[in-house]
Amino acid sequence: MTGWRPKIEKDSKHQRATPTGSETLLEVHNLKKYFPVRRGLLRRIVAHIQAVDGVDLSIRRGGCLGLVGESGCGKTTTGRIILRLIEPDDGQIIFEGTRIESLPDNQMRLLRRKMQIIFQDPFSSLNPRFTVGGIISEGLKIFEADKGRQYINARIVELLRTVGLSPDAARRYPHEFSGGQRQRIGIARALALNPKFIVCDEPVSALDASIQAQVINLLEELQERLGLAYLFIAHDLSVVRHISDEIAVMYLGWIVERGPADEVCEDPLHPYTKALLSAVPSADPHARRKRIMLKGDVPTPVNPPPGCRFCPRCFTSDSSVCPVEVPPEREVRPGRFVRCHLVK
Amino acid sequence: MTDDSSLESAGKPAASPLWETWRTLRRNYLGVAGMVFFLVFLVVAVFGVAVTSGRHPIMDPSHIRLKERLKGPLSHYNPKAVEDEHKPPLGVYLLGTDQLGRDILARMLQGAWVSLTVGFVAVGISITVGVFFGGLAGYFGHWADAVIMRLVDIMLCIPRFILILTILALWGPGLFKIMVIVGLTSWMGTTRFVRAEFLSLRQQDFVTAAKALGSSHLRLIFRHMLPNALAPVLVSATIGIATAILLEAGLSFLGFGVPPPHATWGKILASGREYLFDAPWLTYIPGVTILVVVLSFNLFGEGLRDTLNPKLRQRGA
Repeated sequence: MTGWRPKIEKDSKHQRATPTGSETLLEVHNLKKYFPVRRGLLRRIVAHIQAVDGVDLSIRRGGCLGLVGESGCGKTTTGRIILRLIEPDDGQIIFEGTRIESLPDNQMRLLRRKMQIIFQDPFSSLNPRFTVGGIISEGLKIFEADKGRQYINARIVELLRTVGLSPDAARRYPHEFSGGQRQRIGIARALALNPKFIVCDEPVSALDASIQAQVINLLEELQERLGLAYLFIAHDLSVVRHISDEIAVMYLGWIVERGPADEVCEDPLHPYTKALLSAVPSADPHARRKRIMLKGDVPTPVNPPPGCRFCPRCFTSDSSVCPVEVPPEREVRPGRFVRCHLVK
Repeated sequence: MTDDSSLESAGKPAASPLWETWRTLRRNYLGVAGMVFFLVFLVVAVFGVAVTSGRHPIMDPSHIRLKERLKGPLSHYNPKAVEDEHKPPLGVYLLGTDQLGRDILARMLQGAWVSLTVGFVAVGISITVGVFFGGLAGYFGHWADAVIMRLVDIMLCIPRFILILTILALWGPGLFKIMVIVGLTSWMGTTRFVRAEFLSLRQQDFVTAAKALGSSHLRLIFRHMLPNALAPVLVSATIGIATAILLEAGLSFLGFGVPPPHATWGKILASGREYLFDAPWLTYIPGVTILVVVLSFNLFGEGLRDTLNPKLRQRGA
């Protein structure tokens, strides 16, 4: 993870951000997903895993929201609920002004061409029995079959070029490619239908550091060229900071802090964000940093702590409020939302 | 920023999956032997139906030569007792004759076709039903899964042989009935296989990706999941054919098989029982044939299973 260095200066991103405007593409309110835990002969529901518990998000057209958190905190579930690959239990998902959380299947399928997903594991995300051309053109065959074989073939070549693969890759099978190349194939598949929004579910976590940088750069380039919006899920803050213009930090099904990427990274408000940032290795060996060591482990989402979920591991908690009262999400400073009693 | 250099080394043009399967299977000698016997059996069965059917077959399996009873294998025919048109080919009873002087070779050839069709049609039915139910149970889960799997449990509780005997006793014997009944009572294993495969495939990212691309349920099931679930089905099919052949032979042996004068291996075996000491070839020939065919199907099936196991496959790049 440490070998990766940002390619472009921070400023260029913000110049890019202004002309696209700040129109909202996707909004999520109070999203909830509880997975039932079944036990015993009768498979009775004995408890619920509170994977996602009241998440609010919004993503601008052409923007990128980075979603970070430890494994098991509900990042992936959130991403998949937004695409309706997992059904939400509660909450609203508004995509381009339409409520999609309870759209019937046939209408949802029409919307799918506008929202796509890139997966973490480049090995299980490609069908081993399809050629690369078949994988990339699957979406086209569903939505644009009437345009003919010739159009689809031309599009496959175009997409392969877009992601930096040679056109003769189309006839090969996925197992003939390396991890980075396979991830590019996955990106080409996601781009095939010209989506507006892509959920990148830890797209670089399974790759080598050098390949990570290539894939990140490709994603940035595509965002700029095609005006894509990303929900960029990762557990590595340095990667997320580089590509996102907003960051949301997740902990045990809650978003504990969200705000503009640079502000969150320069001046974290929530104690969990502070701890996460202190774990990011610095390029400057002389920089003086205080590493915040969190005590204990992430509590189980089956039985989360009452009050603030971060309280048992917090180094600033106030014993009178934090263990008892659930902190609401508050806009502490303009554009900066925090779920903590103690942040002023 | 592109990794063109590594793309060059990505390997030769795609080897077809079939070729890859053969490459791996080749190293499994028993599996290859099973496959060879399998193919020989196919040819023999087709050849057999060609020479034993029609109004004037080249070899008549039901022609009775009372003066030529219980002749041993490789014995010459008696030109005085048999008219020219009913003499065995080459003038020799290659596998001998039975208690009515019928040519065992002709009867075995006729029976091969019965065994083949019973095996394939019964397995075809059981695979179709099994894949359908297994796919439904594994893909939709919840109550579909519960209902189908309980049905499987119930079917598995019923002793199959007794059930088949009952049905045949009620409705009378017949080749077609046997095929259908054997097929409809042997789909449970396939259902379990397919369900298990679908349950694990459903969690795979490439299936989620296909769903995210807007695939319909049918497209997901038949285009994305089923081809990836077929390997164990193929294996259980080859072994299922062997089981069906055995089952048919058993039914024929008990007298519930295809009505006479049509010959089947089980019937030849059954009629030979009374002459076990005078004419042992009557039991050995069909018995050893059934053994060899069933064994070769099983070996071929197991060879396929090992071959189609992706963990044993050599993957390029």
